[in-house]
Amino acid sequence: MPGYEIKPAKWLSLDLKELWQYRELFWFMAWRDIKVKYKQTLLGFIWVILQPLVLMFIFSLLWTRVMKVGTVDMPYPLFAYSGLIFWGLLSSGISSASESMLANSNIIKKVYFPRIIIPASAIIIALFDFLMTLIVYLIMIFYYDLEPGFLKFTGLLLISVLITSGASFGIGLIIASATIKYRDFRYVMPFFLQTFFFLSPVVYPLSLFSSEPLRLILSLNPLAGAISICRSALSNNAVDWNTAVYGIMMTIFLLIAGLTIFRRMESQYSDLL
Amino acid sequence: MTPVIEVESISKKYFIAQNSAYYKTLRESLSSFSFLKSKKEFWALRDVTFSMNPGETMGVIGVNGAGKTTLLKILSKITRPTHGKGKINGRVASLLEVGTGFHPELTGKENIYLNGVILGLKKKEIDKNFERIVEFAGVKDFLNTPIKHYSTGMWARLAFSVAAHLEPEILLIDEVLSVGDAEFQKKSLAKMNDLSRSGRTVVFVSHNMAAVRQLCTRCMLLSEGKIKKIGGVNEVIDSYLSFNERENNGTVDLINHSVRKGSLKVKLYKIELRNQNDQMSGIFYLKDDLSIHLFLEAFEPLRSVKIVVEINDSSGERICSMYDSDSGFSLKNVFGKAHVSLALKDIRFCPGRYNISVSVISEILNYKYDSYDEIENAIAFDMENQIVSDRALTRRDGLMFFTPDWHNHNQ
Repeated sequence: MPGYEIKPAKWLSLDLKELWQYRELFWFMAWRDIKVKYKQTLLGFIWVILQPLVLMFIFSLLWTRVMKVGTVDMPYPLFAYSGLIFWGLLSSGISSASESMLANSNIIKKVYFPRIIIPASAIIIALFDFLMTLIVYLIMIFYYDLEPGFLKFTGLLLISVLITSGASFGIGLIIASATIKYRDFRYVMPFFLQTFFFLSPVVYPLSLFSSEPLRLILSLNPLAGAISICRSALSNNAVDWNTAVYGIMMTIFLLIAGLTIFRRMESQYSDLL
Repeated sequence: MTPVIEVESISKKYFIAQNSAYYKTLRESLSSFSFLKSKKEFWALRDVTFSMNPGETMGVIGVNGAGKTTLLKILSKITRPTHGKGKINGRVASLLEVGTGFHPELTGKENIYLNGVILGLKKKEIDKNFERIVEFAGVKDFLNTPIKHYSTGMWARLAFSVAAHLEPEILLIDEVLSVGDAEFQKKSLAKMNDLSRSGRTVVFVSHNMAAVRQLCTRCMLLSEGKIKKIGGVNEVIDSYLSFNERENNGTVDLINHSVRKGSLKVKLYKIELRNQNDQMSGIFYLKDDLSIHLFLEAFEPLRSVKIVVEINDSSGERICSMYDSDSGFSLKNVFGKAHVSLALKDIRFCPGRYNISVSVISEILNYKYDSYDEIENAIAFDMENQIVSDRALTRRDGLMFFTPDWHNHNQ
């Protein structure tokens, strides 16, 4: 017989069986947000694609006219676009996951379900937007007449997406927990994201930095690893796993940290919101 | 028979941070000494123990703030108890509000599925009941219309209909019958009756005593977080009404009231509370007028007396002191019986119980006065729970509710 026990909050427990029971809610929440997003903005789809495209044009212009400071091993627009779409996945994942708890406070206060569903479904929206931007990416690859092997390309892309969405889920969970407790945390977000953008090798190559220790620190950024893995499918260089492994480890760390913090505070959310 | 619901000495503590909301800002936490600021503890529930067998329908009654909603939130796992434990055997659906998670941009059909899944139904179960849900709500022609175009009544009907077609073993319901028009209320009451007859275990929180009498097989009276009485429906409701009426039908007889100060040269013998229709009542709503009628008797001729009326909230915090002289009023040449009233227009207190204290004293000269009759917490009034614009107002929203004039100066 289904049922449950009522007891004071424990510090740690990840109830996978319960999560599985609530899988339909997870998909419905994601479906709702995607539907509402693409319904409300008339040009929802175009809007999502336009953001990285416009940035790509701007940075391409800057790169060729103003600040050509390094060399990249593929056409620069493609280089920039590949970085920008992963940046988009990470940043929109982080911001929608961290805002999701406040946005859904009315449901959280009235119905029980594993709270993790809310930020997790927010990541799905970011992934959905990412898929849209991917269409342009494929068109560009055809335009530049590159022929990456299908298996290699999709395989590496998948790994990059996993790293990026994992990291954005982890960071999103940490920030979501913090925002519930401290409401003014929201105002730190734009600054945090902007800094993050310029510290990530999105529009410049990591090889820009010759100092080995600095490069090591910068490659702790999961986004650095994800982007370089994805790009190596297009250039004919082999994946630099030695560097990428730092980013992957960081992702795993962020995920564990995020889940731990979120779970630890989960029982308080309905009282705090 | 194994009980479906079994809870043992459940308690729930909330912290009410003084002068601030429950959550903090980072700045406040980081700024010095904020952690030393006193936090007020508040026990919403204390040592609640009970169990229910399959098929029972329990009514939960009590004044606002007695812990009714907190109990439902703990039973439905929305919040955790501070102490105590319990066991629920069976699938639970909780209905603390109708239309939880409705999204105005989505169509009626989409919202039926979304709301159903949020309430814990499987998609298959919604498919199976879809026709009946639509028919009960009477929105067949508007299924593909975004519900932002629905009327309030349609919205409420749709929401209740989804909830009523849940088929859980245990149903937890909070005041949901108060939505919709009279016709729909009758229909939903009948539906609830069906549910409880068909062997569901129901916990039903309500202020509507008629509905509790009609639906429930047992009843629990909560007062200040504790079970004051549990047992047969009529017995518990009667004791609630008499316990409540004594303080709260809007009048109190003070002739034999023993806890008072003063020389009793003037005696306060009755207080009545009246609303804008001049009806006696202990229950008020936002924007009502509240008139406090004081009946006094002076046993010797006095040139003048001064009257002070104070309002405290249920925790004893003073909200206001009203001196008759503040309003330029004074009662002169009193002897024998007198009837004085003061009217508060458009009251803006948030839901909860408020106590009124009255002092009758002499004129104040050089900070000195004679006390004639002072009675603390002579009478109480309740501000009812209420929906305002887009939310349900609760004590958490503060003490006062204001609707200031807003202006946009950018145009």
